[in-house]
Amino acid sequence: MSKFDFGKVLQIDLTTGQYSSRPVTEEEIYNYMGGRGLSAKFLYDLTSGEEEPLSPQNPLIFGNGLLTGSAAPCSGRYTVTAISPLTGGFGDGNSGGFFGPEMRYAGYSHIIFLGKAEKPVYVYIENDKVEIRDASHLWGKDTWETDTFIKEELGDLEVQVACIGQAGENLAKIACIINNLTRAIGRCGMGAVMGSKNLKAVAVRGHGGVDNVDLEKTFEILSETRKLAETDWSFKLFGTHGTPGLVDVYNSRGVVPVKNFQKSWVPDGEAEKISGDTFLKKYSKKHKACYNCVIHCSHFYEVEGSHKEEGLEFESIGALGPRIGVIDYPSILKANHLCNRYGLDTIGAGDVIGFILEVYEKGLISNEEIDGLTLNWGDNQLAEVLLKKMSYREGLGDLLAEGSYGAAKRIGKGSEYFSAHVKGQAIISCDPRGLLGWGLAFAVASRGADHLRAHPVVEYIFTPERAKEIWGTEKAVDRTAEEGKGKLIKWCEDVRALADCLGVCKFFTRTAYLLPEQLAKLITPITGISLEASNLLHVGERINNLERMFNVRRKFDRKDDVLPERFAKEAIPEGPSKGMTIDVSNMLDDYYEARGWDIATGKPTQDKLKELGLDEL
Amino acid sequence: MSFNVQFVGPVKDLVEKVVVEYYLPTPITVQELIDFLISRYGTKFEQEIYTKVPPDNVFFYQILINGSNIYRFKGLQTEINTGDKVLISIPLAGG
Repeated sequence: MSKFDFGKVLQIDLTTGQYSSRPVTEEEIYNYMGGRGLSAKFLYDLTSGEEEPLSPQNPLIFGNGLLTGSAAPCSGRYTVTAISPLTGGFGDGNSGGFFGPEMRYAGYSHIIFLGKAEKPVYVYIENDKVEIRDASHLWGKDTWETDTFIKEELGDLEVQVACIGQAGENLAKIACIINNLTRAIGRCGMGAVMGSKNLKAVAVRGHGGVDNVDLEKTFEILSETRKLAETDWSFKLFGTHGTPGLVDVYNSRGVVPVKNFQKSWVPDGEAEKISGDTFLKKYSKKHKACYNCVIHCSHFYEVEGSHKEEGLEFESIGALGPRIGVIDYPSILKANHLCNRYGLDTIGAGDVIGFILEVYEKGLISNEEIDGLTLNWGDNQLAEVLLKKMSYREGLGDLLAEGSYGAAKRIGKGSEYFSAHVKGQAIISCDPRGLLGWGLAFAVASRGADHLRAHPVVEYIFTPERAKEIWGTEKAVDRTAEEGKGKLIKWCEDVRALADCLGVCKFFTRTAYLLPEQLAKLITPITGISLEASNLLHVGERINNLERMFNVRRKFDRKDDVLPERFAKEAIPEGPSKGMTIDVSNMLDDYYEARGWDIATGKPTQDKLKELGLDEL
Repeated sequence: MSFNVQFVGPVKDLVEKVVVEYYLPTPITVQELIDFLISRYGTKFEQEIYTKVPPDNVFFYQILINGSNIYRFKGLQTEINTGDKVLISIPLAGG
């Protein structure tokens, strides 16, 4: 029987050029698993609470999950963690593709970048070899050019590259990191942190592997879980339509934001134009999968006469489509493509475009401030112009590069009302007024408005009976009821943290691995680590509390766990969720109670921290 | 009485329409509507609508009336009234 090796922690000081490595300890694995959890621990320990996000003092941590690159299904995920320039609090992004597994094969679980390089560099890692290379010739290039140049320069097409485009170089706070050309560490502005370090790219190549401690048992569990997954419709639909299939689902519930949340429903005739079916029939050429993925939710698509690439997610359709009044696939796909190449988060980019259109409509920004542009909803060409401007911080783009929250702070005049954000991070293309559980999840997520911290799909797929069994009330799975949502979101956050720590895609952990019991069964034969479901939930809870304490140290508390005022004041005007509003205050009390946090401040109590072994924080 | 039913997900392909308007002499329950749809569209529809998922074998499709899950009312025994908008949808979310 072989021994499981999670790899080493590599620490690179970009200021001095020095680097060192050490193995991950067993204690670290038992307490934080890996990926997001272990990165959170590193970030907490490496900072004091005073660091500026775009200063050399902000560490940038690439972290693999415990199972990344292993035989586990959909285990191609890695996380990048740092203080977020968007929120000023805990920040991370998570991406699939093949970068994480390659990093693992090179022998590393985590790579921590400290300091700031004097000039643009990229870091090349091949097994034990670590090189900090000049990237002056790459500065100014987009992500696709950068990926190609590095592979050519190294003479190895198998090298995996994670890089920034012009948006990251120019410190746009909605800049992302791109790997495999179209896979994004999208949220929290991690691309800007990378840019602030003059770090253009990280290129990895590994010749090792990941041994399974008990191969026979591993295959047995894989076979069992695959059968489980195949019975779930999300598995089937994502395997054909991918997330674009969600356009119909959300729109039929009246929660697709239109014109910066002025409406939340695309009338049926119009919705067809941007449906998953339309994407599949008119643009998709074939399915694409990340490392070891059995779902293959991604597509390779082509827009005749324009471009071809992999990808397109529901969130990008929503943000670059109806949210800015555009109901036109070629325009959405072009904007999506440009975001990939400039290295912009599609959600953040669509959000700030929708914001500026509305504040202009409301007369809060003058004609003199918009570079002579015409700002109209539904202008199919506008996104293309604005995405370039924000990536280079040109004119109006300098304002947009701050994200809608940062832009609103600069504009003032009450424009904050029109920024759809929590803690500075843009809300996804899903109106929380029509999905109360999701609204609470946005409000409390450690990285700001975010659906993936909790990803509370159980609000739909569990029966009321099941809800009562777990959370004590059938109402927990009623999207229009507040009751039970605190416990629901706490449970979901703890379970989802595990996916991020294991490096397994949430699209698989929403089906066969939805329950921690099943996850525990998977971990043991691959790693040899024996864990009960209750141990796993404890780890998930520890990570959520650690991230909370990180934010508490940076002065966040209950006052920051709020949704924009607009969602309480303005009811959804039409469609299936007509009349709905959301005020999270009652649900927040329930959530804090479920978490064992102080209800007045939202801070974890000493008793809770002690229970989780975090009492030194 | 009349009401319409919107189909989201693979059932839409079986019905071959997104929205179907029904005209009936008297109100019916959701269960009766489902039974009718099964008789109209056959076993493929039945297999689709009754897809189950372990570990708790849930009725996997969601049925909403005027935007609210039928669980809020009387479940499958909920009466459909004239003017109602019924949604039969795969229960997905994500992003």
